[in-house]
Amino acid sequence: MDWLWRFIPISVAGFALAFIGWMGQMLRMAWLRNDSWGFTVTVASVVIPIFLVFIWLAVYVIWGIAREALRGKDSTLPVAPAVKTGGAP
Amino acid sequence: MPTKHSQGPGGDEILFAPVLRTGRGFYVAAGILLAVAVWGAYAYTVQLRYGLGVTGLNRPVAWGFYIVNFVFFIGISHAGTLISAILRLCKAEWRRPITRAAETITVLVLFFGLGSIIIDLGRPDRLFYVLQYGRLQSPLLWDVTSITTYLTASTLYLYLPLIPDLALLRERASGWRRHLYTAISLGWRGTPEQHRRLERGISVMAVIVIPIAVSVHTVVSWVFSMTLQPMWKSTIFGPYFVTGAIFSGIGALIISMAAVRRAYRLENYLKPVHFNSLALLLMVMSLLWFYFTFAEHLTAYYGGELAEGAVLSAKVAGPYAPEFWSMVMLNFVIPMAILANRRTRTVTGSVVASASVLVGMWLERYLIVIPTLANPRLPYPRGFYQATWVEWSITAGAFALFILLYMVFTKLFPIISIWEVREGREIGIREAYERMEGYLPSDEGRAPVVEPAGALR
Repeated sequence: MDWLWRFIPISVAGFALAFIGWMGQMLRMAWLRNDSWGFTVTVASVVIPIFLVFIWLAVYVIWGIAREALRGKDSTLPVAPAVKTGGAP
Repeated sequence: MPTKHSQGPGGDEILFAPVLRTGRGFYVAAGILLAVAVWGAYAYTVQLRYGLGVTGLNRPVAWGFYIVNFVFFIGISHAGTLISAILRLCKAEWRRPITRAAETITVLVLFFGLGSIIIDLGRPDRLFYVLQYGRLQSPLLWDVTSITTYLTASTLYLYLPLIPDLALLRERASGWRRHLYTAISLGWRGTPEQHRRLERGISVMAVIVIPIAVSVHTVVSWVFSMTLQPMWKSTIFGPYFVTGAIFSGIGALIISMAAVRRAYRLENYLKPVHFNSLALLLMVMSLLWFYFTFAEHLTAYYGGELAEGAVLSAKVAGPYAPEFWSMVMLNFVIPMAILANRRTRTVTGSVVASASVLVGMWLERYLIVIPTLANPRLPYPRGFYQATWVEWSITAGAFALFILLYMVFTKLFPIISIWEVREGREIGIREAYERMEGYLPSDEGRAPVVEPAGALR
């Protein structure tokens, strides 16, 4: 299962990167054609940071959880304790 | 601090039961829904073969059922992420058993929203033109962008809180299910580091998903209001659409909750208090919806602009009057009559009101799209639209497939977030107590507030 635990965060980050790439392509076309450059920059500047957050999520959260499991995979997996007694998210 | 609620396989067995066992009733219901979905797929193949000519679309009514469904489905999607995220951020403790059901609606229904657009294209291969030659000057591209963002965010927002429950299921399932849960639970062991990262991820997503959700339906409204069509060119269309979306979303959530409550005997988790809280929200949204609808139509009437007048009179006293007045009844009169009275604001009453709202909101979307196109501002002859069997079949198929997928989801994953419910038992009382202490004025000179017996320190 190790490869799947790596695949999930990589696929999330990959999708986000692909979307950012698509935005980049539209920016490039808008620049080359001198076509609604202002609109394109405005929309892209809102959307790209959101997809950067998704990449952070894939790397920090999903990859982080999986890495923690990979570190301790030699030990037997206990039944997952579901509750942390700190604050709720 | 692990306790009896958090550890081990014991407790909340009934929440695992739908995933681990399937009764005959499920297969019967799934079979019926699948048959309707297959019929819808057949109708779509007819449309693919013969083109959009088999639909009721014409000139000038170029948008019909598919766009109505698109707006409706995207609206329903506000059930989940938005409601769940707002309640999570507000630390509303009663949210815990309902968030998963809501988030699932969002993710599934967004696919149907996007699918409606692809069906409306006639030739689905033209979707690639959007990717290849997209121009962000067009509100249609804003739609593509915002819905894709929302779908990604909602999927992640559904997935992250699912991880601890997947780990619980991993311990109980066997065969292919065990492999599945092991794979997608990411080896969750509930270590403090894993908890820290998960909670951070959920918190961040809860914050960013709200503006994304609001932007999605605002952008959907802009597809209409950026044109100069009568009764579309409106500055309040954004909030009007968002209000309608949350309104129909709450309705869908109540119905889905009642269905899983009855089917899986979850009365102990989905209690009347949950329905009562959502019913009150539904009532508030009904009032807001009525306010926006009234403002929108009064402005058009008082302005006396010729093209707008034609659309307005077609709606309120012309060929669309039955749909219009049905909409008012279903979205305002019936829900208010049921929900304003405490005695009728029961689980059954909430479900009836919600069903009424869902039908009413679909009619509302219909009345936004069709009458304007049938009475255009430009000097075209007036049009008329009547959906054909193909559109009816595809619409029925889409709804059936959505319900079927929702049912399948409940068979694969717990529809109530087990770890969040357990967490609520552990820390909910303490947190609520601390919050009350935080915002109530200090009571110097009075007897100290007695800490609740169940509060944990």
